[in-house]
Amino acid sequence: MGEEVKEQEVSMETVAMILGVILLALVPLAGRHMTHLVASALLLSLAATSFNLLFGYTGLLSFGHALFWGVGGYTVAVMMARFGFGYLESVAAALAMSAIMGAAIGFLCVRHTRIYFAILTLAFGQMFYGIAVKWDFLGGSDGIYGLPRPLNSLELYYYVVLASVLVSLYILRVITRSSLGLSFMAVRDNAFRAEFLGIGVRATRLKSFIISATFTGLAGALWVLLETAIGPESMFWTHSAEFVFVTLLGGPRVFLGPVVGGFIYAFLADVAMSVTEFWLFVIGAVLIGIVLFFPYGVLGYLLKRLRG
Amino acid sequence: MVTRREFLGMLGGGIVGLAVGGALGYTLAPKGPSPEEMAGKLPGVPSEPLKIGGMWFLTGKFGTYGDMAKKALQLAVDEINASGGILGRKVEITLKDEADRQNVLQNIRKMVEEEKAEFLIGIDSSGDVLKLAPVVENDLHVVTVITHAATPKLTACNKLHYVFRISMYEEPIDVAAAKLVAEKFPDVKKVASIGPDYAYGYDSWAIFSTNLKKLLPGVEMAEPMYSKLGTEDFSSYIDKMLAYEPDLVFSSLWGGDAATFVKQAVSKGLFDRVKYYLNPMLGATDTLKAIGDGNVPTKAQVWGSGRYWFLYPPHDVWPLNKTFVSKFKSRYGEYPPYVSATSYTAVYALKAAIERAYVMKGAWPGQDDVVAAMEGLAVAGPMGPVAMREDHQGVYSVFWGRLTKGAPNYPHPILTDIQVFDFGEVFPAPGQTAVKCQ
Repeated sequence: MGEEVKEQEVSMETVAMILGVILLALVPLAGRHMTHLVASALLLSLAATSFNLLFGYTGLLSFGHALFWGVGGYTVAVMMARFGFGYLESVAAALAMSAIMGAAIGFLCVRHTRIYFAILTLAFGQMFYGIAVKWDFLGGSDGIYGLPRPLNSLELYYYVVLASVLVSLYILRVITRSSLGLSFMAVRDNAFRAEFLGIGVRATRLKSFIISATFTGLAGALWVLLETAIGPESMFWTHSAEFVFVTLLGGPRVFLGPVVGGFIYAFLADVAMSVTEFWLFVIGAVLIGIVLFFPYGVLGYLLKRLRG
Repeated sequence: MVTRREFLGMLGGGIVGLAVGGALGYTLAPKGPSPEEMAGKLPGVPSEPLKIGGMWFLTGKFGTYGDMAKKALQLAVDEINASGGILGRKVEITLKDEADRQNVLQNIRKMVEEEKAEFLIGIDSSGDVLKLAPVVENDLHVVTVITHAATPKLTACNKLHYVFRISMYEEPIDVAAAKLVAEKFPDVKKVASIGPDYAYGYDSWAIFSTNLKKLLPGVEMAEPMYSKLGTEDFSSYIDKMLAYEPDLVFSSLWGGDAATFVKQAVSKGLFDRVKYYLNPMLGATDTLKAIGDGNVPTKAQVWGSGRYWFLYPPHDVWPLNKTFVSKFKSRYGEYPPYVSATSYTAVYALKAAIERAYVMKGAWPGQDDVVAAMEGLAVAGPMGPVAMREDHQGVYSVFWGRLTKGAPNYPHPILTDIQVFDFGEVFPAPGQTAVKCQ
């Protein structure tokens, strides 16, 4: 498996900055649909990057991460629709709720690794999906809908999303470079050796889990305000699989890999569906192609090529 | 033996013949105006094609719905374009897949804002329609005709402006079910039930049981049972029913579940022990195909309903149904299910509303003009005349029919002994529903 290469990080940050600026400029020019599309691509990217903190950096494959997207989303929806809070308090509550849920579920899951961890997270994801379908308070299978959109404007809200995602990515980037981030990778590469170096393996995994859950929850919370609605399908395992797919698409061993993957996925789905009703086939074919020919993901492959 | 020269000669003769014949045919054939020629002929009508955006489940396990809706949509659009389009504008369609659940609103927005769909039709899922409606009302502002999603909440709990539902929803069918029992099977003492484990199943039972209690107060009812969508083994549910010994089983299962349940109930002898089985979603051709003639119970009476039945109104009484069914059958090789009839009617409702609004305004109508024209509109569909009520719910009569073998005339079981309930008997007043609004 490849590892982080230090000199690459500077240019990647530059790429991220340029990308951010281009996106900012794009909004007024490209129309409302593009604004909506880029906003959801940004949120998908944030969720996938958070997922990848656990997967690419800590070596734990969660197959139930949409659960935290749903926790964030439902918290906002419930706070606003049931209790009449504003969106700022609601998003703050969503962050807290995602962190708490991340701690509780993470505590139970990080005792296991590999396939056992994946199955356990999948089980928790499906359990909460089931709860959302059944519980009237959460709107049952209909979900919660008709929420007001912040600032009453898609364009203005887009900037909120953009700023939140950029700040979150920056925080996640700082974490991955900190001693905490290095301990994630140490645990990933050799848990046994990390233990001997004085790193609490389980505690480290739990920290990664909580941070990952919190930022995934933030993505879900912001997404609900974009969509003005949420339903149980946002916690279904296929949505969790989307995070995995997006991460593999972009490259799990590069920080911005999931972001690139998120954008490719969102645009691919958007274009494929307009061209053919067999759009899922197109996406499936792309996944097979990526796994076979780009084992490090699109961005991972490009960086490898650039480096020679 | 034909030499090369002879062959070339014949080829040349053939080409000349084709050219002469073609030219003659061209000049002699009766010519109606094509949409292109009509464009711009009516004052105030734009010349570019009119685009309608459709969204249904096109892929996945509910993909049949979208497929059948799309086929009917194509049929309606081809008919309309063959006779000059809508006020001379050729009709085009663009489709999006509702199976992309995470991006329903984004895809709808794309059709409206990027692909320039002027009107929307479709939507299978109740959850999707409830989240879509506020966005259409507050943000997109395009006339949207719902063709399938059946939650009473859409029209009963919302004040709609741009959103209309042409299709029958679940409440009148369940109210009619209670009436059917009270009128035809007053000997019923004990009722058991099963439904899918989500809002539709709960609502359906709530509506049926509340109404039945009013009509037959003495009836005893078992605790309702709910099964997950896609359940493959219903034996535990059937065993519980057998133990309860009901006279009547009410089932709101739909699609594959409805068929699986009937087949397993047949093999476990449920239909030898109960007298009546009612399913408001049985009258769907895909379900009937899956049940098959071999599983039509002979002892118990099995009754079904739906949002449209291809043999009702009878073809001699309502020729439009006959034309629709025969066109659909000859083009696609099967009988049209309800999603086809409602989607087909939705296009004609839009056409009628646009034309009416054009006459009233004297220019191509805006969205609000079309809304005004839709309100109070009556349109003829394969299911009979459909009237658009002030709550934006299309109303037409409800039917219930008894499951019978289709052979030798039909490839699947059919509903016969059709009982009709006029809309006035079974539709709650606008704004009324037995279901709790959010």
